[in-house]
Amino acid sequence: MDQPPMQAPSAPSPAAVRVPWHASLRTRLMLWVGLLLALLLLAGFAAAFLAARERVVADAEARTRYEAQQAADRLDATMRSVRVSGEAMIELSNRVSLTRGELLAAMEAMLDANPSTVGGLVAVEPGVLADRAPMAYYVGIAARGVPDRDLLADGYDLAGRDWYQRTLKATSPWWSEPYFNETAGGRYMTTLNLPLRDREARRIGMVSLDVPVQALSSSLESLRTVTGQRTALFAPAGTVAVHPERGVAFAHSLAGYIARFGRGDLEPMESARAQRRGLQFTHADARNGTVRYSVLQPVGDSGWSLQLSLARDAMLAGLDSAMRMLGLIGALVALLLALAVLRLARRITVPLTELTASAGHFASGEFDWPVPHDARGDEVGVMARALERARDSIRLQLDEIGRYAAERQKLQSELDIARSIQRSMLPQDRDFDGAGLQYRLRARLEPAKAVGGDFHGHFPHRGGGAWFVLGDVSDKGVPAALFMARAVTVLEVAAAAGDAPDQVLADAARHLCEGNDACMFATVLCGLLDTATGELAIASAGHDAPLLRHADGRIETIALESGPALGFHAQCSFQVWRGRLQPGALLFAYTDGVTEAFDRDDAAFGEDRLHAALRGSRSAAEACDGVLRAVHAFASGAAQSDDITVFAIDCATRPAAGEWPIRLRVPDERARLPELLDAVAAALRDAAVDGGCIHDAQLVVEELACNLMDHGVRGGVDALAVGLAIEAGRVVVEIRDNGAAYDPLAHPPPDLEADLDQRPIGGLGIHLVRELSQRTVYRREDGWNVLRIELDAILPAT
Amino acid sequence: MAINVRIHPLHPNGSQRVEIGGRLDTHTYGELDDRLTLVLAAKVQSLLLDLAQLEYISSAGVRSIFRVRKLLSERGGKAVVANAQPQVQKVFDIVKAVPLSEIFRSVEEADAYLDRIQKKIVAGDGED
Repeated sequence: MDQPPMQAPSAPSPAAVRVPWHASLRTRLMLWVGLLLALLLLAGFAAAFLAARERVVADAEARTRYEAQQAADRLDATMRSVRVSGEAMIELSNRVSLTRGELLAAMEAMLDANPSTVGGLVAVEPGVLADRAPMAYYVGIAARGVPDRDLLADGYDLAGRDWYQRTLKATSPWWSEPYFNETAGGRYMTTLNLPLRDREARRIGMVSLDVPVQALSSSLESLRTVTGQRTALFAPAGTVAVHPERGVAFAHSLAGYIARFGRGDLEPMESARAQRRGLQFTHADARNGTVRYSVLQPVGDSGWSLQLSLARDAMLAGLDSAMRMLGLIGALVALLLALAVLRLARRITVPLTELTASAGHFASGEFDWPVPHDARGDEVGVMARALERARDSIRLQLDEIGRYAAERQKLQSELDIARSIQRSMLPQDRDFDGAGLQYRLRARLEPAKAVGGDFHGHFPHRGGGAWFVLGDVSDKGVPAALFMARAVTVLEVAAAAGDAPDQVLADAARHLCEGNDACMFATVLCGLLDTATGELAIASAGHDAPLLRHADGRIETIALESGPALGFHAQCSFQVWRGRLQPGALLFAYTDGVTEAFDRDDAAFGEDRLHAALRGSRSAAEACDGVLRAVHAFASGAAQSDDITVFAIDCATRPAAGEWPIRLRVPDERARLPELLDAVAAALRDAAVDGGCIHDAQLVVEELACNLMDHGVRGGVDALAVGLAIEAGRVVVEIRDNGAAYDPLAHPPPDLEADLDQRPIGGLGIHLVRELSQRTVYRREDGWNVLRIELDAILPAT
Repeated sequence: MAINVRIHPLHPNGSQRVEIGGRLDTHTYGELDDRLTLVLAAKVQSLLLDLAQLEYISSAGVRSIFRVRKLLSERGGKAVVANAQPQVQKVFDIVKAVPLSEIFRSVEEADAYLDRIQKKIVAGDGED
């Protein structure tokens, strides 16, 4: 019992039903809507981005192609103009026979007219001019920083130059690779070489025009203003003339650059350049991963090639920032929408919370608590109305349960009254004195329900003996109890008039059959005991035969021919068994509730166990109590299925009068207790015992006698006797009772040290006895509990 | 033999003196209970049980006195015992139903004790 009492489940308080924010429907709705929206927007943006990207890239590439074409055309125009100047010079020398001076003047005029050129060489083989002398004169435009120079006078080995020999052999003009020209102002130059032929197509010399590379590249300046756009210019033999990377121009050929800087991605461009065809391709610079779109455009038929490339990043830069902005706006929209959902969800969750709070109040029994939102037309309203209906139904059912409980209580109290009435119909146990013998009739009845159909009884016989009956009405409960009352009355009336048990049963059968529309019946054992002789006459109406336990412990089932149960037939006859109850023997009768008591496994108690329980009993009371104890122990908590009644008569030698001077019947003769105490006092005064001891002796007898009267009945006590003696200077009090074996002194002493408020009122009497006496001895003797108390006394000297 | 119960007028210190004489046992305790129930129904603070004439007491009688003490202690009162004869005193000693500090040799001693208790209660009330 150390455990604390179990807590009744408490109704949830409105505060307890609050859902944590992360589990709330609102939060989840908001998160899901937000997430879904964000995903949709993301997918839309991704699709748009991909489409836009493709478009942007295509546009940028087209633009790059266009611009490359434009730039190549501009370059071509410049180069063509130089070529036109050179060809004009050749035409002039072929058609008009010019003198040396005129030739140079014409050359200067040509150079001057073309802003791209800064100087030019006129070389004529010997024997062509009028003076037959060769000529090699470089005409420089002083205004463009280039001086004139007479190569012949300087001893310049013109004939030994590769480019001179090549030009002489050439059929068309050709552009030289760029070279560093000290004379022309320390600039990189490229030269257009044109062969000079006479009318017979003999090689008579050459004309060349110097153009600074700067003049060519300046037309590409505008291309560099576009972010991420780069230009490169390659001379006919592959020399890089313009390159965005520092130190590459003039130092490498394209093939050399590819090899030197690991630009394998440009290989296709080099092969296209060598074949003088255009190329558009996307390539990645392995050094930094930059992806570029390049267009290689040949510049007319000059042999030069222009490369224009645009970085992919640059194409997409605008797109990326636009997409970032769009993404930001999308996220903002998703967030705003989620917040809107949060607000909208309040319209669902707030009513839900309020309804839950109402339900909490119902759970704690406050059925009058209002249900909010029950007038709404939406699902919340439907739920609120359902809750209201459930509440009304629960209230109705609770009322009904309360009504049932009240009715049940009323029925129960009526049953309690019926039970006490029925018990009062059963007689007390009784002793019948015979010649030096005592016959003790004992019976115990335990109904399975509040009231039952078992009964027992004994009535005096007009001839001096005692009638005893034991019966069992069919069925249990109230109907059986009513029939039992009738049966007992009928049997008593029949017994009062009869002399033999078969007559009594026949008489009772006739009466009980009358008006027995409910077809109830009772099995009855009826016997007559002659207390003078101990002779028994027993008849049975359908009842189990009684047992005879002989003084030597042998158990005999009485061979009794049973008649029909009472209630079936008005006319029936019964056999009578006759025998004698010897001293020490015991007659035991029972109803089938004993042998048909079941344990948890549905096994029946049976006759073997009954015999075993009976064998050691020394008195009728012991037999009854012993059998009941055995039945209870056997059933061990299994529900009692039928009324249980046991009945016994024993025959004992009557204790001699005088030995036990005072005998009281318990508890009927409680009022005679003062008489007993007076007798004790008188006897001790006669023996001249001192007053203190008399007081103590009276106290001891009173305490023990009261104890027996208050509690002994449960143990089967119905008689007690007190004996007094003076032994060895002590007063000896012996109190005996005929209850089940019980030593009251074995009762634990009360806790006298406990706080006054905590102490139970009781248990003091036995404590007093224990404290007042010098010695106490308990023994069991011939079916009696005997308690011997020794008290110190002051006795007169003998 | 019977029991004699005599109830004195209320003492100024709020206690009621009850003289119990004769025998207090299983047959007479009911009478004492009835008489004391009437006394306790009034707003008595303390009981002084004068046992000068009590010749005999059994556990049933002790229980009556015990019950009265319990009832009074629930309302903060006392039931003290005075003038017990030796054989009665012996029973009290054995069952210890009344603490020794509340058993007095004379009515005067008991009154003085109850006066002190009364003053304590009055002083305690004043402090509240």
